[in-house]
Amino acid sequence: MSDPLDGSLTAAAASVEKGELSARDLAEAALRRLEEVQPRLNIAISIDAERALAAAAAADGRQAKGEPLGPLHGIPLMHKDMYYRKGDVSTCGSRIRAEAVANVTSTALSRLDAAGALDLGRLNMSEFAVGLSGHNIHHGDCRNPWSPDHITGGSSSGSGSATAARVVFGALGSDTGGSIRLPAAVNGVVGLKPTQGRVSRAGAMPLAPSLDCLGPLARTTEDCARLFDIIAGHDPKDPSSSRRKVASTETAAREGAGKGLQGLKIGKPTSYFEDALDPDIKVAMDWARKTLEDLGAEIIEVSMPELVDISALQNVLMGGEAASRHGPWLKARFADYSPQVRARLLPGFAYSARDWQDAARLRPLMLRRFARQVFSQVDILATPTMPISAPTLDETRLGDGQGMPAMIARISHCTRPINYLGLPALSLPMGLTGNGLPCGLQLVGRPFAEAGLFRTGAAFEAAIGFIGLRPPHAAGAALGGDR
Amino acid sequence: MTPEMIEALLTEALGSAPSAPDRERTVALATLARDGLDRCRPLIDFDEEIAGFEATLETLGDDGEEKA
Repeated sequence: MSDPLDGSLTAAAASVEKGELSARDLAEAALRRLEEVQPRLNIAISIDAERALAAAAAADGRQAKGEPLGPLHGIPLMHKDMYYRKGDVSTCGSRIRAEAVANVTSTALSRLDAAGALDLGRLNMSEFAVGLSGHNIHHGDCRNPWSPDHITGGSSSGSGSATAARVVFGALGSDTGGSIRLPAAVNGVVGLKPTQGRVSRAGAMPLAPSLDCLGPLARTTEDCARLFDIIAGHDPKDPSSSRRKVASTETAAREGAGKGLQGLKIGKPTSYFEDALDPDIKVAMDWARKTLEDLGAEIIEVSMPELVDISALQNVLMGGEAASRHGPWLKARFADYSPQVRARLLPGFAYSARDWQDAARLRPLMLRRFARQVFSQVDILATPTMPISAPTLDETRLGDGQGMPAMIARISHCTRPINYLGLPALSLPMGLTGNGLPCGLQLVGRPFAEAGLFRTGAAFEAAIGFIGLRPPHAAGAALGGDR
Repeated sequence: MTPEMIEALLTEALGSAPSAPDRERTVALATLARDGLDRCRPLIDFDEEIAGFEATLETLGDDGEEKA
């Protein structure tokens, strides 16, 4: 029998339910794989094997007694080190929070717990979620299982790498400017930035609360959808969370796999998202659109509203909010920040209250303009997740040097405006570029249209067969792989 | 906002004068963002509707069209 951790979350959950596998089997296998890859990929910041095994034993005990099982019963997961669990340290990828013990448990973790998931520990991330490459001078750079010399993307670096490396079936990340979608793209997994307000942020580290979104990464659209369905929905502890009913996106993904996309209109942007693409990304994008067309979708060219300025507005909101959060530490512990994070936080002090307020007032207006211009013509917009092939860690090890702002702007070119607009966006693999690294297709939908994104993504995923590709540096390398 | 004003804000925030590279980079990045904001400001209507961003997401979320 092949290792269950090489398969999908939903398949493993079904095997546990049938009694073919135990929660303990899965927990032990995941911990073995974690031990194997940690030295070469540096995916974890903390590992709690004892607690995971105790939880697995308890889960098996509940099953033996015939108690009802949750949809994640016995499924090992790990999460970005900014999801708080009461009594545990969450470093937020920083030195400053190296000993910060949480006094609450995040709503997202509580919901995963209630669904039966096993929590193996916390994953590497960019310091305070400010970083898009996966470098971390405090905890060490996270490495990409496709090529340890290349970036994992950030800030949910460990979430992307651990999932792609077949250590766990999935992980939670956070996305303020692309931090779920970029690691998903570069590591060849599926990542969802939900609609703003779809998932409660209670008990997770804030960066810029008006833009922060929490969401899942997994290896298949169906797995990602299952995780999303569990964490989505209103939470009284986060009054900004939407009260809108959450449709089953897992059902949508299951229905979409292997089906056509007849009747669906997909937008091809005529500007901005198509600006200055790496040749490899352009080829992959053209091929992805052709695949969507072959599946029955109609591809329609759509002109874009003022997205360059939207990126500027996003910077004002994020800068002001992050400066407010980090002000006390920047004053008292300046040297404890990495140079790049400091450099990215400082502009926030140069925006006035009026600047922030104007950027916030423009947000609904820009969203309406975007919706009128784009979603009056198409159901979904298809863009690259990242306009360039994954660079190496060395190429992007720019600290606070001269090339850093341009590098950040380039990496997040296609993702950042979506956060300002609050729209849902799904990144899923669309192939490998010439350097052997994955690249991502970004599907952007109307507010709260996550089910449509998963349905479309599942059809695309089934058509291209990327899931069968195994990163050369994934766990279980002794298996040989089927690359 | 002039570079001198930004330097004064940084000095106040950090408790000491920023280094020259920090000051120059911050001025450049903040100016870039504020230029974009300035281009958008004329779009703001004094009598704009009161609905905020979250309400707009909810309104547009049904079928992508604004409700009457």
